[in-house]
Amino acid sequence: MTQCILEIRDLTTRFETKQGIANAVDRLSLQIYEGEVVGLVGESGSGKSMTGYSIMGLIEPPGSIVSGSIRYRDQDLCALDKDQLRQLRGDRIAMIFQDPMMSLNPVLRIDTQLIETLKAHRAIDKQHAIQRATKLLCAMGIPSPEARLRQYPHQLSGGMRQRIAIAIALLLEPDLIIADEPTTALDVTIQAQIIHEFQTLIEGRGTSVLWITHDLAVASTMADRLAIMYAGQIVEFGPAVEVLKTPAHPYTAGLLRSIPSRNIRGKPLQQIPGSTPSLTHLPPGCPFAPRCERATSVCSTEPPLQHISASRSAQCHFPWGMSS
Amino acid sequence: MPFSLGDVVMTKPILEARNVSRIFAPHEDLIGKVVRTVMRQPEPSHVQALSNISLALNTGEVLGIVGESGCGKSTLGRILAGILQPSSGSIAFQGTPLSAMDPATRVKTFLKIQMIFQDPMSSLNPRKRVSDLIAEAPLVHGLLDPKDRDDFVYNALTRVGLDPDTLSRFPHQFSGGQRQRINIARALAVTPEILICDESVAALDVSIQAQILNVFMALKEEGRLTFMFISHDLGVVEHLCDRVAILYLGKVVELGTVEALFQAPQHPYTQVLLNEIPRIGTGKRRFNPIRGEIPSPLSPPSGCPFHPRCPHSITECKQRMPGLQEVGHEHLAACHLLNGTTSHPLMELSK
Repeated sequence: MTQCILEIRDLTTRFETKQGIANAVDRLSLQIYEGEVVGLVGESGSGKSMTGYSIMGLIEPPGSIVSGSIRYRDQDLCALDKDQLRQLRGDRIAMIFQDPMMSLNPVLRIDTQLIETLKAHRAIDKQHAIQRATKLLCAMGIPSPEARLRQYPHQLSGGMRQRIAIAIALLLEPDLIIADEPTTALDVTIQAQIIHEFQTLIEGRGTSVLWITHDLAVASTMADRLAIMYAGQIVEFGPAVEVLKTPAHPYTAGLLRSIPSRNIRGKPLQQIPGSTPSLTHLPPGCPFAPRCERATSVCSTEPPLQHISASRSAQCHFPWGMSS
Repeated sequence: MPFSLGDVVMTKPILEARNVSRIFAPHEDLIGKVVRTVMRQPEPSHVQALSNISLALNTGEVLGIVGESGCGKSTLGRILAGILQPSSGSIAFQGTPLSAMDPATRVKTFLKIQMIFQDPMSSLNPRKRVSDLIAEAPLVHGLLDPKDRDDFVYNALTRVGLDPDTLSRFPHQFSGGQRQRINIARALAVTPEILICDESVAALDVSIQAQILNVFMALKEEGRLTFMFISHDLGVVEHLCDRVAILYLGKVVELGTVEALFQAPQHPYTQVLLNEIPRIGTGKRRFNPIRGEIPSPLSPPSGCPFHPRCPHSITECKQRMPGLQEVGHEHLAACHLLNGTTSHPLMELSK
């Protein structure tokens, strides 16, 4: 049995806004094992990015983690002070953001930013640092890396910048990478290249990944296991192939039916009625109930976490596939 | 001689781009020009966004325009909608070039071509109520009697699936999907014949995207509209469109019916695109991507624009831009490897 690298238990991240209290992440539990890719899929406002930020300790007021625990190996991340967290962050756990311009410093050269990352965590001289950076840029598919190292972020294309951001995340060979929509802003051919290079690198090193995306298709080509989020909660969890083939939660099923596919070309798509609820005004019980085709009066009470099989679960009163 | 679609398809083109090119050059004032001449600086670089595009939109069809960023798909949409002027070439509506029309007719013609944009928020005036947004254009153009205004807005909102009681609200009070419905209602308010949708569902969540696609499908069913659907999402295009044009660096590289193009893509770029879109149901898989980035339109490669990335390129590709040629029924592609024969190595690859 592979080791559990990250264990999140009953995590609640709360934002206190003028409109009211919003639980961006609501009693979320998730385990990530060594060397696996977990896809965290949800629509905008479902709390998928906030889950990533919570793990990285990047939640700032008015938000805060109000309950639950995040364990990385045998350390409780919520209990660490700022310095200890900084030691861990970037070194053992790294994050990749959607917009590389957000994570790259526009006034520093690429080499400065790469060396800075290395030097912050390792006693390494400049020569070796550059060597290591060059090697990694090469592996990320960046042509003539020596020349690129001397450039500034604005001189590179969007795809190149994202490769650099990924290279920085991989530089210290972390155990866990949190990738927040890293290919969403990129073109299809560039996305395919970056996913390809990223997969090669993480498989060689056995890195675990939390791949956060709104795109079920991308998640399905990347992930071993899938977590589907809705209104701050993981509503369904299980091996990617099974979740996509036989969804248990009505929301997952609805999402899958909303995606145009070859078999239903030209026919109306089966849409999920309504829109995502505001986190400050959630309906009682199951947050999906008002849009759900299977909902009954029971759904206004808290849905139980039901185990469909040993590896699959759904937060629903009436999931599909229950052997009752 | 550019190809003509007239003899390939049976239906009559409602809107045509004839040899349309568009160059974007930096604006230069007189002083700048004098300084440049005196200093003997080179001319500022131009971006050739579109080069020599001929494309016909047939009455009642949904034509998909697909390409990656910088391929000119939005420029093409804007030129056809009359927002931008072509640098050369012309646009013809029902066979009459727009340049040959008198100003009054041209205004009437452009009313028949409406556009829906990607970002539903920035394309709505935040200070106007929904009823004003929808009724403004028909009132200005005299298509609507002010007395009937409320009924008109009521019907317009119902048609796109919005609660008509929301007509006095402001755009910020709606969700993204609802805002896009307002945009559609506004475009439909002047009873257009052509809708040009520029990435109209790209900014929406999957479940909302399905709702908006269904609105488009219902409008298509009504049969009174012709669509040009610009998108980077091949799945959406396959679902909605009748024909597709694939653009690469300002040129049409392949054009055909959705069935033909998705089942037997002929151009190497189309094959690559279809190969590299993630699809559900393939399971965890590795991509086998092509190398290289999309070249900058500031310095496009010689010959075929795709040759630096093409896995099959030959010397001829570097020298000469291949023209579009027929590769099947209603199916055109621009590739040297497709010369004269329909059985070539690429056909096998596409299987």
